Amino acid sequence: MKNFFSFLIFAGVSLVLGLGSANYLINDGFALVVSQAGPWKTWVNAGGLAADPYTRAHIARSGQLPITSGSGLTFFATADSEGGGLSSDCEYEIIARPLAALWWTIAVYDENGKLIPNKAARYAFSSQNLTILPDGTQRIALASQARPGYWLPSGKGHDLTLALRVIRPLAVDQGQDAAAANANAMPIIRRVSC
Amino acid sequence: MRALWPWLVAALFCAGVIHILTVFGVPYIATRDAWARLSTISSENRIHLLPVAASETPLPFMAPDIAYAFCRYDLTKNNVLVKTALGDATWSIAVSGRHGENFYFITGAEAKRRELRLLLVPRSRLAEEVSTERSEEGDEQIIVITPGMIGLVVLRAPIRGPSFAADTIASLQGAECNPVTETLPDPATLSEGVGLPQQKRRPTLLRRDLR
Repeated sequence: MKNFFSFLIFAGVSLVLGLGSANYLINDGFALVVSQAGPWKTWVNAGGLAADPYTRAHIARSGQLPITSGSGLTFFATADSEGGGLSSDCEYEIIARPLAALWWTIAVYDENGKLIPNKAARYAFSSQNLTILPDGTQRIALASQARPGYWLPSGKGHDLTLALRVIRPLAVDQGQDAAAANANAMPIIRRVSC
Repeated sequence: MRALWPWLVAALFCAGVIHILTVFGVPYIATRDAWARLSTISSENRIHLLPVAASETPLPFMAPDIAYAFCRYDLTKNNVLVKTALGDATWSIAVSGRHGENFYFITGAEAKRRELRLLLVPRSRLAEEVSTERSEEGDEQIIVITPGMIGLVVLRAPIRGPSFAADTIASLQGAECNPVTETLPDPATLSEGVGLPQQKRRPTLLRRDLR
């Protein structure tokens, strides 16, 4: 009986620790495989032939189809620059500076990675359609109600995810370095009101 | 309590093994990875266009301001030729393996030509076949050596703004992905009808209500 009890503890601890830790690291990553710049996170080895097993597992489970980090980077943000979770109940200003890349775009999604329907049919802004203001910045208003300038509608009742895609980052040639080099250039997500 | 320690140490070791097996195994047991999701809505060796900024997309977090076209290649029987016009410098083509490992990528900025032709050849067949194949238009094609027999070619065409969407999609519809079935015809057997180019296959525009 005592041995049976011990075996139950053994099996329980093995499964919970083994599967739990794998699940956590596959979903959220850790410093060696995920690069973070402010609120922006990216899986630096995603899409590469030599991608690490955690990145491969993350990509397979998420269903995404990345390109190598030397050719393109996708950063995700689920929090503002102060660390508060992004919600459509709040209004934000995204303050970007032109990134050293062939092309980049910022899009907003709901908690399931889907677009948020809106009458303006506006889901993203890219380097091709944002004008640069006199102070050198490009600004987007992320709000549920219409705002002047570049307005990205956030709907109602959603936890939001912002995706910043950078095609051909020109600063440096490899992902980890590109992410680090772009750390200071990454857009700021400022909460305006809630 | 002392009797439990060996069990706990064994549990930690076993947890480590389960962790490693899980991490390495997920790519092979995942039933909803990109390949699986696209397989349900496409046939092999054919270009498919995905709806732009649709409420339901086959893959999560697709860029709403990019028009996507993809081809699921299978090189088991034949090499595959991918042809597309490159609308502008920001267009790109990525070639990946079965599990999304991207081994070739080129943008319009680097291609420096209006039309791009990629001949996909598996590494195992490289030496014997490429030298005997040619396309009707000439030799100016890029040979992409693939590590495996199956995978994905994805064309990404950024859309400058809503008013450019129709033009971009129309340009993308000209893309082709066809198995190369022609080899050099033997003059002795050449007769009328032999060696004629295959009829062009038009890309399929997927409906918006993808499941």
